[in-house]
Amino acid sequence: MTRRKIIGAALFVTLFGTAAIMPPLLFVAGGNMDLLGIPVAMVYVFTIWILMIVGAVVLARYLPHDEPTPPTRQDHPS
Amino acid sequence: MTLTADLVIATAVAYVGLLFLIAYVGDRHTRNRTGGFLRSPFVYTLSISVYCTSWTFYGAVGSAARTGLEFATIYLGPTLVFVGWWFILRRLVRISHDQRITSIADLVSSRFGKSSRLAVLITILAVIVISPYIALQLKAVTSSIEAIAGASEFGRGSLEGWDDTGLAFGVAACMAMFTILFGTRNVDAKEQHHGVVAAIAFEAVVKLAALVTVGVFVVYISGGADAIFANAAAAGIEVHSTYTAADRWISSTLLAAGAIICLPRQFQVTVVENSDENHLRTACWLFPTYMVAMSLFILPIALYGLTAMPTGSNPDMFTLTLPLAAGNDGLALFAFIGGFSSATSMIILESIALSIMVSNHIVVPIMLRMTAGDGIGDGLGVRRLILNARRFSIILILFLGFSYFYLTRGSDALAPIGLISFTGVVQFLPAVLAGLFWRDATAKAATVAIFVGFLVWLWSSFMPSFSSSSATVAAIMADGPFGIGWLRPQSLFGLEGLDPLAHAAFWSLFLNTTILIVGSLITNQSALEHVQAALFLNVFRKQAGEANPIRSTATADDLFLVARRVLGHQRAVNLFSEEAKQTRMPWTNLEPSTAFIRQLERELAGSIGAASAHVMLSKVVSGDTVSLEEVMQMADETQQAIEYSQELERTSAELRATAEKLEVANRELRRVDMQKDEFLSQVSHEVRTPMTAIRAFTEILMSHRNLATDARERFVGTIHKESLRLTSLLDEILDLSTLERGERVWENYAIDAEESLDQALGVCDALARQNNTTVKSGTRVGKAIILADPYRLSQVMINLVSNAIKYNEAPHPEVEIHSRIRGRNYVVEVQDNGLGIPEEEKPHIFDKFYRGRSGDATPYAGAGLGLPISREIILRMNGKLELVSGAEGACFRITLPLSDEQEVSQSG
Amino acid sequence: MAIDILIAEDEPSIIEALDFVLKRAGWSVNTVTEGDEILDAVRRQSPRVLLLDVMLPKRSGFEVLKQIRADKVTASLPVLVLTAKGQQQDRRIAEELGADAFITKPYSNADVVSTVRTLLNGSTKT
Repeated sequence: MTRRKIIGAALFVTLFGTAAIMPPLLFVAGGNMDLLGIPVAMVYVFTIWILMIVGAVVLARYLPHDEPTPPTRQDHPS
Repeated sequence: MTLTADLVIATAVAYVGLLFLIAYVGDRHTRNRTGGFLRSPFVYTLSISVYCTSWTFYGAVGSAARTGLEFATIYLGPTLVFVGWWFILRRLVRISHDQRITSIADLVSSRFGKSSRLAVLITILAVIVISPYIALQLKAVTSSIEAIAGASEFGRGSLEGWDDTGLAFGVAACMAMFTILFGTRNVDAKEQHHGVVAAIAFEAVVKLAALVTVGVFVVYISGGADAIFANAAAAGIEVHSTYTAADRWISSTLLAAGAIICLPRQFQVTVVENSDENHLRTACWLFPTYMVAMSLFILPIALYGLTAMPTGSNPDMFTLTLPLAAGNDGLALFAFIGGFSSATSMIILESIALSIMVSNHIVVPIMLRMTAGDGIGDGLGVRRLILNARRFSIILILFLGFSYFYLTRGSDALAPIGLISFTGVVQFLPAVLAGLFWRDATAKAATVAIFVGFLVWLWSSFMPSFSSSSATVAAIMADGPFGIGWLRPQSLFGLEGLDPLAHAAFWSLFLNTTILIVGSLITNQSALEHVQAALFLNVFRKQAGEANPIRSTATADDLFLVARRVLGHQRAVNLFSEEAKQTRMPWTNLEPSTAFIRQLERELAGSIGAASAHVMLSKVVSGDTVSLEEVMQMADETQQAIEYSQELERTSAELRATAEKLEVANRELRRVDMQKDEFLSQVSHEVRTPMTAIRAFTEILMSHRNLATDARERFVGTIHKESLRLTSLLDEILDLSTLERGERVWENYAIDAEESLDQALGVCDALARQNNTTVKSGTRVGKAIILADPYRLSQVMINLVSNAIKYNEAPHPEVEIHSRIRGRNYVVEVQDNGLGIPEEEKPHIFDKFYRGRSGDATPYAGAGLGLPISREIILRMNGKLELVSGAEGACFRITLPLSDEQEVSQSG
Repeated sequence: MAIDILIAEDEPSIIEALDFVLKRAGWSVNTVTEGDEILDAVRRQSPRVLLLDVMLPKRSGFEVLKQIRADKVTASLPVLVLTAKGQQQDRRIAEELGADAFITKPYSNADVVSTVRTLLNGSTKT
């Protein structure tokens, strides 16, 4: 993937995570249901939370490392 | 063993002792080694976890017991910020490293033109806004000690007779003492405190371990997580719709997200203490993971507490009271230490961060102003003053926290207190984000925006918390001030039906942001603001040039930028295209030659004065640590900076393209510098040589009175000859340097070059005869009108002809002069029949002080300045002087353009 | 036909002055003007002291000094370096290359004489 697309992916994970934990989607996960005895809402919030973390782990590895490596091509005109 | 207040206080003191030890070892460790474990991303992440205070440890459980899942928003907000680290945190860290930022107040003030007014405003607001948060910690520690003291009959021990207030005051006083001992041992220029960070990281581990242990214990004794929910449901607690209204949920997520950036201590640990940008790569997932781990057992503990503890027990203390009730004193003590950890780490870091702000932005500026006349005094005094200022602010901060605690002691939930601070501190967020992403935000707008946001916060969030202790406040809450209904703090402008938190967050941030945007649109930035805004926005763009601050940043583009600022666009373009044309190089590949830089300096001097021009250019050209941007700032003081931003954008591409050439240009500059040194040392040599002879002979004459007359006369003659040589040397040096600097008014007018040539031949006649040299006039033009200075032209011709005579070692020395018209040029050649100039000397023949080998053998050892001077003169007449290659002997050729007059006379 | 002092210097007036002063002090003096003649002259004339200018045609004084120190026969010859550059750096180089004394031009005649005397006395003792 290109540099721009990786950054785009990072933006998506952040924004999608935001949307997912905000009311409309949060209410979708509500209701009176339980999952293994635990309310679905709690399971949902923690699942989204952990998914965001997984996304962050993956992206942290691929987001550009543009630290102290200025473009030093060896073909400068002399 | 039963737990008593005495025991836990003793444990707490011992624990603080341990923290000291860790801080001490941490400081030693980092001092001895650069890097090491303390600079690892894990310690960095753990120190960020200071975000989880006793609000998390105790308050989140209480919050979960009261409103269910809502507690999670406090951790989801920061999770979003960290998952999206690339967009905000990374910029903050980079900018803060570049600009040596020491606090959030420093950051905002720096972006808005280093405005000290903003720095002071933010500092004062931060101190006020944080006081509820400090109160929260005091309350939590006090309650936890009370909880243990109340758990057994003799639990109070020596606390007998102390009430809540007394205990809280004691806690506050001890905390102030700890923090002063902890955080103000030294002043670090970069405001990084490795020892403290180590202790905070240790505390992060302790509090996590304690909370998880209590959680596991609770799940274990209740028979599993599902059993907890089932029991809670059976007890009539609504476990499903336990999340709150949408407005509250959104508000607290947003507030928490803003707080993780704007809280002074979070800014301190995340941004200021960051030693490596890449640590964010780990923290971006590790810190959210830490928060998940902290949050995982909150709801189970809360629900189990609600079912297992007697009604009316304080849910905020479940983490501590559940193990106590179960008779597990060891675990209870561990839980107490966990809670104590989270409170101390918060208090220590928050007050250190705030005290840095107070001392840097309020105390030091005042001191500098007061001592403006006589300087800053000795460094030791300043250090002591800063440390004392910090100590004082720590006491002030804890005192304010205690006061808030005292005035609001009627309310009992922890979490709402924390959210008051969050709402206040988030008022800095619009200005911070505008600083990162919006170039046109102005200082005036930001100041007013923050201030208005703060006022709204004060009215709708801070003041209502006193309603339980003040009848006046309660009355205002109910009816509005003076009965004005639409000013009621929790339904401003008639906005009813919103949760008070959402209400306060909405109005404060809405007005804050609106004022910031509209205000920025209608006010203007100062020059410095403009520059700082560009620096903040382009923080990632200039890195190629800035990577190594010792590197020179002089490229043609840099020079062009400087020139443009001062001279204006058109003149700068003209200047540079002229140079590009002359060197036959494309504009982008232009390498600034020394001559060009000199010329540029002259041009600049015309606009801003010589001294400034020189300082400016030498800072760009030399490998000074001063960056281009700083020079830009200098330019801003004299010239308007309006076009700067567009300029930066437009030329940043070119700048990047030329960044690669930096090294080449740099090497060239170093060579030029060495040439200058070489020149000086040659001048020294050339002056000292005749001086030596003069001194030696003078001393001989002085100390040998009875010399033979002929010897005496010879010596005096030598002294005379050498002083003449010295004089002419100095003349030549001055001549050359005036020529090179181009100061002398130079007038070329139409003259007959042939006349000058004849004149030169006449002058050299005597010399030729003395050397038995035949000077022959070969083909001659007869008349050639050129634009020149006749005196200077003769000077050059005399120099060439006399050189040809003096350095001719042929047995029958001959010099031949030719002149002709070639195209539109007049050409003169001076040819001798000597040995010629050796191949290896040819490239140096026009160098200053260069004397060919043959020169040394003759009695006419000159200073080696004749040819460089001649070449400079001919250049000034738009001609050129060169050594003709392939000739037998040496042959010098002058080529000068004919004047229009000559052409007319030729064609006519 | 050993001599006392060999002067390696290319400026005619300076040579004349040195020659006069040193002869007056009672020593025998010879002169070379080019860098590449020095070694040969030292071997053949075996002077007790060498006065060496740094800026010499053909071969620099420093280079010559290095060769003198490298040669077993001439290694212990006392050398007085004269330089007109007057830079700290030159003095350092001279010391590193094993010069026994260093004098900057313009010098006082008395300094040269007394330095040469010290060097001559040193060389007679060993």
